Amino acid sequence: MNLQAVTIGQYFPGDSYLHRLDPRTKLIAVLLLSVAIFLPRYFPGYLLVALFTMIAVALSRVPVKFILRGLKPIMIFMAITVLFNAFLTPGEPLFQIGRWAITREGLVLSAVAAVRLVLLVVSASLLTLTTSPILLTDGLERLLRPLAPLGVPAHELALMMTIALRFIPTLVEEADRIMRAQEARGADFRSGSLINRAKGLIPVMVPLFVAAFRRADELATAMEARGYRGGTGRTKMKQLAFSGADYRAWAILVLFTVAVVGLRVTGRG
Amino acid sequence: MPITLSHVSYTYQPGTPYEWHALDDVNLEIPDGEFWGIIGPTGSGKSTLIQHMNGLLKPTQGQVLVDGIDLSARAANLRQVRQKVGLVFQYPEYQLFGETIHEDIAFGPRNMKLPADEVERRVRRAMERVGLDESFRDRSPFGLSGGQARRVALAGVLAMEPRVLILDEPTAGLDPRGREEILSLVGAFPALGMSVVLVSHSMDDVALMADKVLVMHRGKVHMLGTPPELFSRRAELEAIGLGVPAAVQLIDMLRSRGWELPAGAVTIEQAVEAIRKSLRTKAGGGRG
Repeated sequence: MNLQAVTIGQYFPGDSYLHRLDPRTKLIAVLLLSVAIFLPRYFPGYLLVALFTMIAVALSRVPVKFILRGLKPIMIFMAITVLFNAFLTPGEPLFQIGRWAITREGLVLSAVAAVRLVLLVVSASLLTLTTSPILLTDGLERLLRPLAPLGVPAHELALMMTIALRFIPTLVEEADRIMRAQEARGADFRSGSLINRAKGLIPVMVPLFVAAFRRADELATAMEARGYRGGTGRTKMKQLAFSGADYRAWAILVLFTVAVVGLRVTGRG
Repeated sequence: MPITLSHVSYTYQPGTPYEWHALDDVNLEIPDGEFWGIIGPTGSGKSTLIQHMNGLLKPTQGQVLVDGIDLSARAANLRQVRQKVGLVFQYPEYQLFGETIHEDIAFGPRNMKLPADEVERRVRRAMERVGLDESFRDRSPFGLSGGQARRVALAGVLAMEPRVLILDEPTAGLDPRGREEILSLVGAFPALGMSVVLVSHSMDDVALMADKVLVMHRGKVHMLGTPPELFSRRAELEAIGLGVPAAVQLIDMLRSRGWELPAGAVTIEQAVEAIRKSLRTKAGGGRG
């Protein structure tokens, strides 16, 4: 098993227009886009949303190969969605397979579901691909701050996210090491029934959890030792600031949203 | 149970920007019953090297033979090889998982599919060897002292009764007493018919225990020889960021101040002996 190949929420370093945007702009844009993806009912609407996403991909200068790789994990989920929609939607039958029929309505719904899923995942990956984890959490914290009076622990949430992201590679490395050590003691993670393999993970999971708790403890102590006291009164080394690029992005976003909503309301898309 | 490496090279993540040549044309033969020390600066390929000796890593190029079995061969039974070549990683106590110490030590023998009474016998013997008495049997392995936990981990590998034991920095992070305990334990293995390979940062430990010392540098075999041979080449060792044992430093210092001392003392005891002799002849010469 090669754990080094695991990549989660990967950042693709670069200096494109999308990379330079303020993380808040990008967060809001993804939020708007994911609503917009579910609004259209007819072809023109979908075309507009798809075009917008594709332009964003082009602007990010991230290789398309990289973006498609992010789609891999949802392939099974997508296949199931498409199959269920195709077979289980009542309507005019097109093909008959045994007692199951694919209906015209089913095909349309499948296509819609597939397009929506792909667009959703692509736009979400664009966010993480073009925004470094630190900026992302900074942006999230700033966006959540107005909600603090309502009891939303903005700073704490952001900190948790930063720490989680920071420790993913560490934990992956640790898991790899523990697996090797148990393999040296004759453990076998590659063969046997699914249940046996699942049981075989106990000698990996237990030390991994123990290590994670130990690390958490040490990290907390180290933070306290350096005077960390939470979010109040804490200043930032890098202040987030909107630039001209952001204002242009906002303008385009507003236009796009109006267009999508307009198409929907007028019943044309 | 000789281990032979011929033209072994290993590359991490080949073909990516993170490509790293950890081993580069390594040729070695570790004969039966010898105690080898491996030293080298950080990143010199020591850990990669030892993982080749029980098939945890397979060479990108070259061949590893353990007892005549080619570990890269598809038919090679790696499980069997791993029983014969025990590998104790750095900080092995971080891999403990059993509910009780007994459970944890029994993990290896159980993976070997041994009958229950044989597992029992081996666990008992392994605990005896590392000096853990019966009272530890049903205790949790978590919450032991550092030295104790490490001995439990060591017992977990010993219970497989390997014929070669490879240890990666077995004394790292232990207090002097824990260090002493582990070292005297490891030092006793050759007498029990085991070959030992000890990766260490401590020149003193290596000088004290090893028959042969291998110096790794940038993935290559940099030097190989007996401790007296090797530690007489102080400048070469220091050039790659290593050093010599305290005893060698002392002898060198005394010689530079005009003492007549023979080279070749690498342990404290040998140094004491050499100095005592020299004092005797000095005293004799003074009278004569």
